[in-house]
Amino acid sequence: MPVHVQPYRWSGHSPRVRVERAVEGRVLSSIRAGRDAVLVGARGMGKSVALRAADTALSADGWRVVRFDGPPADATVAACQRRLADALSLADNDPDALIRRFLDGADGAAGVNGLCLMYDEIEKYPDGVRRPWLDALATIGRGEPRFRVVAAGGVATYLLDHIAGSTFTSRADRHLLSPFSLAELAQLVAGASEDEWLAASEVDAVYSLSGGHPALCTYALESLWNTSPDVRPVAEIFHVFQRDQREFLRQYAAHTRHASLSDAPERLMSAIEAHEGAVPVSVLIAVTAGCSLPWDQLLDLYLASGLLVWSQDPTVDPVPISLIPSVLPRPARVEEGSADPAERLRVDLLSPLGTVHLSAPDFFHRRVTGAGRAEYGLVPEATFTVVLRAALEARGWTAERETLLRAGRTDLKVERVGHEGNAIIEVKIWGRNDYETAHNQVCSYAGAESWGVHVVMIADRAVTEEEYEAAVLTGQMFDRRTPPNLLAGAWRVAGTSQDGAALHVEHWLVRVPRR
Amino acid sequence: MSDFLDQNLLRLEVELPWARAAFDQLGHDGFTITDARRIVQRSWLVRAAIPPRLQQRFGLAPELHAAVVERLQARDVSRAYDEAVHSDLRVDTDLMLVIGPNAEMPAQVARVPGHGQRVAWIPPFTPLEGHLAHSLPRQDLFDERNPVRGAAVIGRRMERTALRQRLDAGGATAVLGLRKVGKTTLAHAVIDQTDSSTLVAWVDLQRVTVQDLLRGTISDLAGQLGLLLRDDRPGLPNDPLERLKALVNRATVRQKRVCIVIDEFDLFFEGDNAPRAEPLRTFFGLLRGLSQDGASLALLLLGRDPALLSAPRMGAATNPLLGWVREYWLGPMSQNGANDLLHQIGRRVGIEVTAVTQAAAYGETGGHPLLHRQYGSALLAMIAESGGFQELALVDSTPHTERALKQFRSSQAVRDVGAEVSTLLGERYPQAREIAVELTHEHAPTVWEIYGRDTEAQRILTNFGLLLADGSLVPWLRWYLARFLPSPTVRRAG
Repeated sequence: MPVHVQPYRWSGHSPRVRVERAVEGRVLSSIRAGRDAVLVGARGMGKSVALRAADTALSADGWRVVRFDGPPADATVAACQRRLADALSLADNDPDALIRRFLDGADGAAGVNGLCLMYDEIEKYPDGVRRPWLDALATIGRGEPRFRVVAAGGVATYLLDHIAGSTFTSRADRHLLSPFSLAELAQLVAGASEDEWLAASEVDAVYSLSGGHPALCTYALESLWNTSPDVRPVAEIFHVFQRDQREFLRQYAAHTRHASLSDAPERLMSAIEAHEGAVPVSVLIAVTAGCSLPWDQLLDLYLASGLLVWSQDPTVDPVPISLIPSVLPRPARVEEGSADPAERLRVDLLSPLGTVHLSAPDFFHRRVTGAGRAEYGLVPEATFTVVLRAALEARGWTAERETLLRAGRTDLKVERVGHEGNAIIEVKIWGRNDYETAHNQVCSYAGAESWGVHVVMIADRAVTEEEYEAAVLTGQMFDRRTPPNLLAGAWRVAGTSQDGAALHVEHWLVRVPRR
Repeated sequence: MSDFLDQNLLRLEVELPWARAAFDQLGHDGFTITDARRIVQRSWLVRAAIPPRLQQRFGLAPELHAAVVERLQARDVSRAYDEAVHSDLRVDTDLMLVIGPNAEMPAQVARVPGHGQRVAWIPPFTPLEGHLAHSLPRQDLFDERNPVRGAAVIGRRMERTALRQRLDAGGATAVLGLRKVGKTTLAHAVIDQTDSSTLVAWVDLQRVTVQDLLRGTISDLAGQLGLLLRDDRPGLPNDPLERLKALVNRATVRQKRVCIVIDEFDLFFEGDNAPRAEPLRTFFGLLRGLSQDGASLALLLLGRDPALLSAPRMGAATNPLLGWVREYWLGPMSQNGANDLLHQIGRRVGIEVTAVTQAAAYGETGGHPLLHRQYGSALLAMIAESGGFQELALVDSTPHTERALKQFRSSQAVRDVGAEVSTLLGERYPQAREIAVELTHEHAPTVWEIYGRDTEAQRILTNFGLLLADGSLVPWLRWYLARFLPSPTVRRAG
């Protein structure tokens, strides 16, 4: 393990190791072409880093750049004006006159090539301040190509419009941040050291669990820098993140939610899960009824939050959309549904399992076999467990990993407020470890308090129902069920708990094909 | 050439000896220098008449500005643009030639912001026509979302004439229309051509950031008039409204006409900062009184909502705008104007947009200026994708137009304009939106079959340029509403 100075700092905006993103160039192109820019991204997607990069590039071109990282203490238009005057070291009450004096060289010296104001975290400005202030600046910039404005934020960037429209947003270029690609993540890893300090398999694991979300990737790399993955598996790192960084996750969710969106985000996510990889336009229209944003803007918002990818082409039907599996909280419907927790858990478990199937390629990583060959294979079991845990918690469950229960540690123990007892979920990968004894294993964890017991079997090849029964259910009393949509097999299997109680174990076979 | 010009050119060549070769080549290419002025040391602004053949080929105005500099500064580009705007449409506002001494100049030009296209020209000063043919297509002139001025205003001849006549007649006019349909561009096109006998005070209400919007507006107008009159005689009142009145009267005494332009006037009546009705009535009442009492005063309002002007009362008394302000609805461009736009800008960026493509573009956009430009942008992007820039690449085939249509509809501008129109109709004119949504149905009957003739909602759609003469919805909006709003149910009249 390297013992150099820590190159990663996930909570900072001036990374020592960084990846140049295409969106930074696009923002610069807008400014140089005489257009304002809106930079859209949820918490941790890299807005501030991108703004700093643009600042550096413009400054090298002779621009004066002023960045504001949030509203003034007194969040009013007048305070924004005063703050601007202070930043330019000029005294003028009128922003128009102020900006012109600055551009034309207030002290008689040559003026700069341009003035660019960057407003980060526009979520934090009151509605009655951010729109009129940005519109005023945009109006000044209309006739003055030397003056440009960049606003960065999440959902607030879509809520700037008034019923009469907004001069700022109607003329600015909108640029979306996106998650790191695997190549970009690899670049971020390689940038820290000339030595290969992190195995490719671990890079893949970080990618699988973070979905490429920049802050999450950086968090993981920061944790892994001086720690061996053998000592602290990648999945464990993200488990700790979910436990310890609740404020971050809360702020992340705030960047993607607003009352005016109604429950459209939840319905949208459900619709994407229900339609395998391509959603009809009619469905998108239906799920966004009552939402203040049209469906294309809602998809863009969640693309810039690292939750999904879509083609960004509104002319096709159906529209290709896929969810990115990660530990990030996703808008999820917490329906009243059945009062029976077992039934409710079944519904809430099947949804992310469907997503796992649809997002199959994201769960493969490179690994080196015992013979020293590199091959692609499924990520470890723990990765799937962490993803399921995040999905269940988003639906209102409390899910603990590796809880000691009787005979050993179960992958997930799941509880719900208002219901006594718990459910147990064991995740296995076909062909690995003790997958054939999954049923007996999970029975050994269960007790009288266990109202739900599940085995989730992940398979990277086509496993027939007969094969499964022969390998896993030999000697068991079982009832083969019609598998739910997107799953490859489903059984209800009789079992006996450690304390002799009769129980039923639900087995789910999930195909995660290599495509 | 005049002696003055000759002397200036001599001074220029002494200061910047390398520029001589550029002027020799310009002369060889048929350009004629019409003006040369020193801005600062080693920085000159030259004006040159363009040979008609090149005007035609590149869609240029009769003259262009050329900066002859060792180091280009943004404020010089800005200054040149301001002069071009007020050059009586002679100087091209979308092109600036930057003549420099060495290979660093193209990079400098790329870093300096400015309007339109800026082309660096350096030794060995190859023939300018070829250089322009190579350089101009690399800058998308179609994608302009701000108001344009000077020679960059294409089309709208009838509208310019009509508005000029109204302003000359005095009184009050409200130019109404959708956002980005060209209201500000039209107003500038007329106002920029007024002579020095007319004093113009222009306020965009979005720029007024003080808490008291009305007081801020009046102060701004009074400040502008005071500067224009250059009248520092004592005796002007402190109160902004009284000051404005006094300045208008002083202008009248000096036989000057006053034109007050208020852009985004809707903000006087909506939003958190909207003034109270009583002071607003006093302000407009003053202007009306001045106009009708002999002062040569014209008021021009730019905005969207006619209801604000024709409400019978403003506060506790009669609305002074009622019966005084005449509405002038600005819809989309005429087909000829829209065709000219694509053709002229197309030539500038190296594509020949022929009749078939012009018709397809107009058929889709209905002549909405910004959307029509975005269609041109889509054509340009398509040409660039298909193999780079060829000389006058032809755009005249079904595959071209189909791809351009797809690219056009995918553009952020189209979706943003669609969202704005949909929201505006839904919030302010719900019946009009209901009609529009009904008309998105593939086999929808005409609006008259559904709703009968001449309803208020139909007039709104027609005034906004969203309803075509045959009673159908303009195609780009029909596509947008069908793609993003719930399906309509068809109704019948009666």
